Formats: sequence, structure tokens, C-alpha cells
Amino acid sequence: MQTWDDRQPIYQQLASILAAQLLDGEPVEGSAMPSVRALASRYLLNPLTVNRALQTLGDDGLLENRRGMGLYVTAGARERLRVAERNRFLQTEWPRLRERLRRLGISAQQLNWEEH
Amino acid sequence: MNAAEPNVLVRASHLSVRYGAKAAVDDVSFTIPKGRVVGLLGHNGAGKTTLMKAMVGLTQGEGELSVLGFQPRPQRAQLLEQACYIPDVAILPRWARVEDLILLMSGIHPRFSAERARSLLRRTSVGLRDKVKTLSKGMVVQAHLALVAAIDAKLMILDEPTLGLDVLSRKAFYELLIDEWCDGERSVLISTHQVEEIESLLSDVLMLNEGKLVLSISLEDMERRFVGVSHDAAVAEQIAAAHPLLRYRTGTGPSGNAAIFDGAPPEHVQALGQRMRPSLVDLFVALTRKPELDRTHF
Amino acid sequence: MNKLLPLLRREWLQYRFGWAMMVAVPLAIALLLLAFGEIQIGADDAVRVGDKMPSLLAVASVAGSAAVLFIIASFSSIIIVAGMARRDHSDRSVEFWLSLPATHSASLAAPLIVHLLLVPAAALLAGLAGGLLVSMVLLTRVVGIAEWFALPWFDLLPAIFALAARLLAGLPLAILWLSPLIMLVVLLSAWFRSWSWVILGVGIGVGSQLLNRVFGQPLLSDVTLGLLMQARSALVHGGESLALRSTEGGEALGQVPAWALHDLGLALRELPSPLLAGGLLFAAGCFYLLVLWRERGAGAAG
Repeated sequence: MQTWDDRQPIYQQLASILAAQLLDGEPVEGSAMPSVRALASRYLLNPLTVNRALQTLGDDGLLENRRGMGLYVTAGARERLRVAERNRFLQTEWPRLRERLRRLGISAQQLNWEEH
Repeated sequence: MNAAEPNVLVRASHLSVRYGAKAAVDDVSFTIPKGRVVGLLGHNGAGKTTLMKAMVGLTQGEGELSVLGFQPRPQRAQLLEQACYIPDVAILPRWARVEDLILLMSGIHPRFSAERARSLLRRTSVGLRDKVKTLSKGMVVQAHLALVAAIDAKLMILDEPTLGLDVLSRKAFYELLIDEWCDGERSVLISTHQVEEIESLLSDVLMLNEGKLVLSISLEDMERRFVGVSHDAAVAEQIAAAHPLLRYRTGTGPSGNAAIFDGAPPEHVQALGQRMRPSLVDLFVALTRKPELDRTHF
Repeated sequence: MNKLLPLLRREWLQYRFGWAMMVAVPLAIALLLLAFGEIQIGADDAVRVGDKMPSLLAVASVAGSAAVLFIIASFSSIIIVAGMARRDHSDRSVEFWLSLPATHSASLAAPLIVHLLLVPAAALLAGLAGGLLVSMVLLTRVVGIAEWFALPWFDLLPAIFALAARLLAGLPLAILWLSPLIMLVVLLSAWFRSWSWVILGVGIGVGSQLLNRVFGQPLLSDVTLGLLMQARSALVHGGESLALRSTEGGEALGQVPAWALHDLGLALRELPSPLLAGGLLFAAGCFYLLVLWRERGAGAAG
């Protein structure tokens, strides 16, 4: 069963998980999100919690409510997410990583970009 | 249904249930709206079973109690047509076959669907022709749950429904709960010891300690009201000075200690550590700790 | 009380195998014994009865089978009813039954109806049907199967049905007379389980002796004996007259229907009496106490 950490409220953690999936193109832009019931069942959460998570994604402009048909992924959602993730990385994660690299004495040339 | 408040399924006001001089349920007041999954938490003997029995008319209390608009004691049979109740032991009659029970419940419960019961049983390892006395305890619980899930009830009252089930069966039960019962109209009241597992399914919680209701809150409000701070041992004394509800060692991670506050602690105290989400287990321990277990000093 | 039917059905689902055995086994034993065992009929009796013997044998088999099955069924019902209040306690399923939307009165009334009325009645009818088979085997062994077909069925069948009807009509009346004793046993079984019959028997026996000898107060023994006698009369009021007539042979058979009707009338005429009224009131009181006991959780733990 999915375990939830104690840092953030559960609905925010679910929103992050769903956003990560959107970034991977799941579901594709313009297609429908899984229903609240389906998500609740998959992650074993109360539907109210799922609703809050979806609400958050909607507030960020990633999902839109089509009358009578449910929630759909907005066009450009992936790009928007990628931009947001990129900014977050550059502003918080990258400085930390850079600090660590400096401490270990690794220079930019020593980093191997081509390796998979 | 209560005409005055169509969205409230259960209303209790200063409800007490006494056995002799002892109050098993002591001056309890709460409401259960529709579309909720309410966890009833408490130690053994805290009064959970007694409260549930009062709600289905099997025990008499003082004060006001209205369930689905009915008075539980005098209107027990009518109430049970619209609500369903699973007591806390595997109690299906041992002489019966599962299909006998389906037949019986079809006749007695107007809202029971035999077809639904059969399809739910197909998900389990219980066969229709099996006799209850040949089933293991876990399978009896599964069969009972399948039978009860086939009732189109507005309110489900479940006393430790997952006791005796293995992990897979518990997961199957939680899926059943969400798939079949969380439609926004029904409500479920579950009492359980497995607080961690069920926390993510709950929308509200009622916490009993020695008969008294120490917490009655939605999980949403709980996240807003209670603040957790994880911190280093170094700042432990400063944290303690701010009178948290509970302090304990988490043992993992860089900050090995944690504290839970009722209401936001002053800014400088929060800055001493990192904000975290207080889990239901932590709150449960904090609010229902036994007097001899005083954990604020260590 | 539309909930009564499924509750009646519960009794069927729980006991149907036992009932089937209760009917099949005695009949099978009787048939086997008759088919392969030794049958002796005293020479004197045979002469005295003469050509009425086939009829007599037929009536005896049918009546005997019916009586045996009726007694066995009544006995098993008594045992079940004696432990009725606590019967679901041993496997803790009482909590399951309490969680169903059936009223306490319906839940208590259903087993009483089934075991006290329906089961003995059904056993009686099964006994009659089985008895015909028994009579066929018996007659075949003693006088040849041709005699069985040559029986005066025109008189025999109405007599058999009349007797059955008399007993079936008398059964509910007998239960009415016995109701205070029965309900007291059931009430006691809430605390003493199957020992309730013993306790009642001992209690009444000792109590009435005490009251009679020490206090000169025969009320308890009079009431108890009165109820028991009336119950027997409800089944067969004037058994002696029938016995007298039947020794005369064939013509008696034709008179059985009339006798049965007359006898039922006599039994019905006994009904309006203070003894019955008091008994029914007492029984109702016991039933009410049982409902209260069940309301309070039926003594289930927790």
C-alpha cells in the first residue's frame, strides 16, 4: 500500500504524484483524468482527499473542468509543469547540489553528461 | 431521514451509557454528516463498542441520540433496515451455508441484493456452498463483509471489521469500502486499532478516552489545528517550554525528536525545527495516553 | 409481520437435515424389521378378530407410525424449545441475529411456531403417509399383498383422515393449554439453558408437594394437572368411546369421522374457562419478559 510521509498533508503528496505522472504524459494532454473513485481506489484514499488534490492541480491550471464530462488535462499542462519543475530545481535543488559538488571537489568537466 | 437536517445522519447530544455506577460512554456529543468515513478510535474499554451498540438500539443510553432520524432503541428494526451493523466478532451462525445466509438476508433485509452479495463473494475465496463452520476466522469475516456490503444502507457501523484479516484481505476490504460505499451519500463509522492503515481513508475522526470524547474533528481541520515540529535534541528544552501536547523520539532522520502542538506555536519555536504533519497515530497517543504514561518528560 | 416468514425459514434451513433423519430412520427401521423380521400374532386374537384383521393391522400400522413419529418430533421440539433462549449463544451468532432488522417478538415467536406446531403436525402427516407403506409391508408378510389392495379403503381412508384432522386440529389447542408451562420453560432457559425443563419439573413437583402437605394449598398441583389433562383432551377428548367401538370391527371405521367431529366439539367447548384465560395471560407475561430480555442484549457478553 502507498505510504505517505509526514512532511506534507496527504492531498499535497498525491497532487505531486499526479503531477509527476502528468509530466510523463500520463494521461496525455486533452484527455480525461481518471475519476475520483478510480484514484481513491488506486491509492486507498478518501475521495474527499482526492478531490482536494485535484483541486490543487486545477488551481495550478493543469486540469480543467469540462461541464458534464469531468476533469481534463489542459493543453500545455506538460510544458507548464516542466517549467515549474525546472524553476524549482534551479532555485532550490541545484544550489544544494552545487554546494555538495564543490565540497567533494568535483569540477564541471569531470561530470559526464553523455553517460546514461 | 431527519427532515430538519437532511445532511446529518447521526446526531448525539450529551449521550451517556451507564453500567451500574460506571459510565462506559460519558456525556458524548457529535454529528455524522452524510458522505463521510468516520474513524472511531480508542483503547480497549474506551467505550467504542458500547457507543456503537447504543447507535443500533442494542443498549440504552441517556441523553439524545438520533440515527437516520430514528430513536435507536424503540425503532431498532426500522433503523436496521437502513443501516447495517457488524459487531466485533466473527459471528455468522456456524450451522449455515453461505447461500443459506443469502436466502435469509434476502427475506429479512428489504435493501439486500442477493446478486450483489454473490458477485462480492466471488472476489473472495469463500464458496456459496461452504458451511460457516468450515471457514477460517478470516474467511468468515470476509463473508460477513460481503453480505453486509450487499445491503444498500445509508449508514454502515463497523466494529473492528478488519480484525483477523491478513494484509491482502484488509486491502481488498478498503478497496471495497471506497468503491462501493464512498458515493457522497452514505457514511461509514469504523472502529479500529490499525490507525495508521486507515488514516488515509478517513474523512473524520472521533476519539474516545475512557468514555469521554476527546476529539471530534474532520481530518482537514485536524491538519490545520495541530502542528508538528520535528527538531534536534539540542533544542528539546525550548520546545518543551512551549507546552506541546506530546513529545517523542522518531528515531529516524536527522532530527530525532518531534513535538505536536494544539494550535500553532509561536514563530520562534517553529523556527527551531521543521514543520511536519502530525499523524493520527501521534494524536491518538497524545490524547488518549494513560495517566501512568507521562511522556512529556524524558 | 412479513419478517416472520424468513425467520420461519431459518428454522427449516437449520434443522431440515435432522427432521429428515427423524422421519426417515424410524420408518426405514420399521420397514426393514417388518420385511425381514418375525411377525407373530396370537392365535386367539386372530380367531376373535377374524376377517377384520387386515383392517385392524392397517389401522394399527398407520396409527402406530403416526404416533411414533409424532412423539419423536414432539420430543425433539421440546428439547429445542427448552434451550431456545440461549441457542445462538454457543457460537456467538446471537449478535448476528440481533444485527438484523427483525423485531424481538418475531424472532422469539418464529421458532415457537415452527417447533411446537408445524413440526409435530408435519411429523404426524409424514407418519400417516409412511404408515400406509408400513401397512402394505405388514399385510404382505401376514396375509399377502392381495389383502392390502382388498382393504376397505372406502371406509379406511376417511377414518384415517378424520383421525389425522382431529389430531391436527387438537394440536394448537393443546399448545394453548400448555402455553404457560412452555413459556415458563423458555423464560427459564434464558438463564438455565436446557436445564430449564428439569428445573421446572423439579420446581413444580417439589413446590406442589410442599404447598399441599405443609400449607394445605393445592393450587399449584391442581393448576398444573389441570393444564396437562386439558392438553391431552384437546388431542383426544373421549378416547375410550373410540376404543370401545373399534373392537367391534368394520362398522366402527365408518363412524370415525363422526366421532372425530364430535370429539373436536367437546374439546372446543372446554376452551372458554378461567384456567385457560389465566394460563394464556401468564404465557403472554413470560413472552413479554423474554422480549425485554432480548432487548437488553439477550444476555450476550459486551
